[in-house]
Amino acid sequence: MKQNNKLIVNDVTKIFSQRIFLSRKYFKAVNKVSLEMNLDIPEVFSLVGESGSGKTTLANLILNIIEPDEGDIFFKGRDITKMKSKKDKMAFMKDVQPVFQDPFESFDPMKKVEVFLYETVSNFEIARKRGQAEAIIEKALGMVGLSFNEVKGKYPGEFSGGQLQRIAIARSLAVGPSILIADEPVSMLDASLRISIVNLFKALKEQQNLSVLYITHDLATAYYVSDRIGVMLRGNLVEVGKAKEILDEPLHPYTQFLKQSVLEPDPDKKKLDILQKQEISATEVGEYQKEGCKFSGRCPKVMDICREKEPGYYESPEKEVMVKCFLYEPS
Amino acid sequence: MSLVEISNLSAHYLQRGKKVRAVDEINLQIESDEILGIAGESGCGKSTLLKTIYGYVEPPLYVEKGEVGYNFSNFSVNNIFSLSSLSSIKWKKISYITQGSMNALNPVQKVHRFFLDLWKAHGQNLSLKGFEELLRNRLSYLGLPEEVLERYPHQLSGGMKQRIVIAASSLFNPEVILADEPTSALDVGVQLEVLGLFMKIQKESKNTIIIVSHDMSVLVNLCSRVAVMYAGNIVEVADTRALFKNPLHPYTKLLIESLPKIGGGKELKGIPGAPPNLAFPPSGCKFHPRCPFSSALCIEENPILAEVCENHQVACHLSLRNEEVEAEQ
Repeated sequence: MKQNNKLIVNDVTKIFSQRIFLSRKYFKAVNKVSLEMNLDIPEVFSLVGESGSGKTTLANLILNIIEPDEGDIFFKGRDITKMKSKKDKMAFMKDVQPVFQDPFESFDPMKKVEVFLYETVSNFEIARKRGQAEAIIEKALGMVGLSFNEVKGKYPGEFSGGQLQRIAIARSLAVGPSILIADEPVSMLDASLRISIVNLFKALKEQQNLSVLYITHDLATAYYVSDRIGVMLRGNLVEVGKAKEILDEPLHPYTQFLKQSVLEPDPDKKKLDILQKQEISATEVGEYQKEGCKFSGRCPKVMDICREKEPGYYESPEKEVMVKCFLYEPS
Repeated sequence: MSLVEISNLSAHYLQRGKKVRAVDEINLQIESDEILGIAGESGCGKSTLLKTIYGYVEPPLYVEKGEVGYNFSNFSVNNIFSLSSLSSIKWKKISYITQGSMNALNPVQKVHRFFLDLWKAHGQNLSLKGFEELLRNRLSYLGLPEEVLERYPHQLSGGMKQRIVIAASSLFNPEVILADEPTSALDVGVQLEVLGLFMKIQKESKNTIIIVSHDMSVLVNLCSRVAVMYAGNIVEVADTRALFKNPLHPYTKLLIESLPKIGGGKELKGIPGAPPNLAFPPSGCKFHPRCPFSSALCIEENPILAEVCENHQVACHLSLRNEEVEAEQ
């Protein structure tokens, strides 16, 4: 059982269709993505990429909200797509908990926030009595740096965004998961509050042995908090490896582009004057429909082969990094 | 004389009989040919300040006191709130890019119609032909393909829509452009290009751009001067370099220190506590409950914005006291 304590995403593809008048277009929102997280060694794994790169779709697949068209996802040795009984599903949901983007939308504005916490505890049948439930909630709130007295009897409108996001995380923790799937948990928050939430993930990893899949478009917080990083481009995972190694010196041209676009809060490192105009096209290019590498339309180092064939994964010679780019193909 | 002169401005929201002091006693001079950034956490009143600068005051927002004056190149307005109608200066002298304005384009009309409506409403002196010429010149100068005019908004990416709105706002060469979080909804790569667009506009027409953002790194890269707001007050104004290299207000310091950087390995801490409820602001300096250096004086008295060194204004008892100590020695 011990060696099975893993989350394994194996060659997963999800196809979405888009109907335009009478025609129907298919595109792969997630394309043959594989990743593995060992829950025995807790880590923060970040998925980064632009909007529309399939990060959220991948998260929904892992949460079993949608089902993959190809490939399988194993959690602790069980195929999550083949779970039939309610009991199995509940056990899975208990172990894999989501944290959503917008804390203001996660709560019912007309209900006291504690109702939300009680509901989760009772839905998962963790505690029978109110006293027991309260103890569990108190413990969960303690983990995020709040106390039950601060939360009791208040409506969501009485909290700041940062506090609400903490309560939302406490709700996830109340059921005792082994992994959190946090989809853009800080993008609605202010810069000053972001760091406190991100620090919380770090603390949960170190103190509660909790793994976190952190989905974000913000490379700076991803660099700060994560152990490993996966860079997504139009459904493809193009670079996976240690966070510091990847972001200190990105290999894939797309990661290089992302890193270059990050503005730094330092007046000595202004980036705007370097900017030379490239061609901008009027409509969103159908990058999903592209043959070969999806970045070939924007890549400064594009070769002929990139437009024709999809690159495979190549291991970098010096680092523990996998790159999906022909530049690193061993010759 | 400065281009925009804000004196003693207080603008409040009336909410169930309570006043929410979103803009409280603000004094600020904005010169021509500068890019001013307004930074602060959400709910600190930065968007409200921008709205009142534009003269767009509608209930429940009202101006309690104070004036916003403009000294345009050929005429001046003593107080924008005493004007009977803003339509004579809108778009031509001041334009305002609201938050989420990229969704302002009509979804069932081509982009060209949007520009034609603009011409009908505001471009009285221009013939249609002249306007078309201006429009096309403008688009090609800003590097936007002309074909966008024949597109519907849903065919365009978010970045392109934002570029169109920015192009429209600068079409009649206004002297002041106000922009509220213009890049918050965009991807990092696109964000860089949209900010570059602002720089290009400013370089060409030498107008003043006031930009509101909660993202400090946007402000560092774009602005020549930055004002930091906290709970309805401006707590620090300085040239960008001075503000980031030598922040004087504890809030600014904490705000800058809390920003993660790629390549930085330091352990970071957020600012403790939460921003105050503006309906019941704390006494004295509004930052004192969260400030690591607060003293008895901070709880009693609200510090006023004072110049501590050249072009660097701070509202903090701490820096004033340090100065007095230095003067005594």
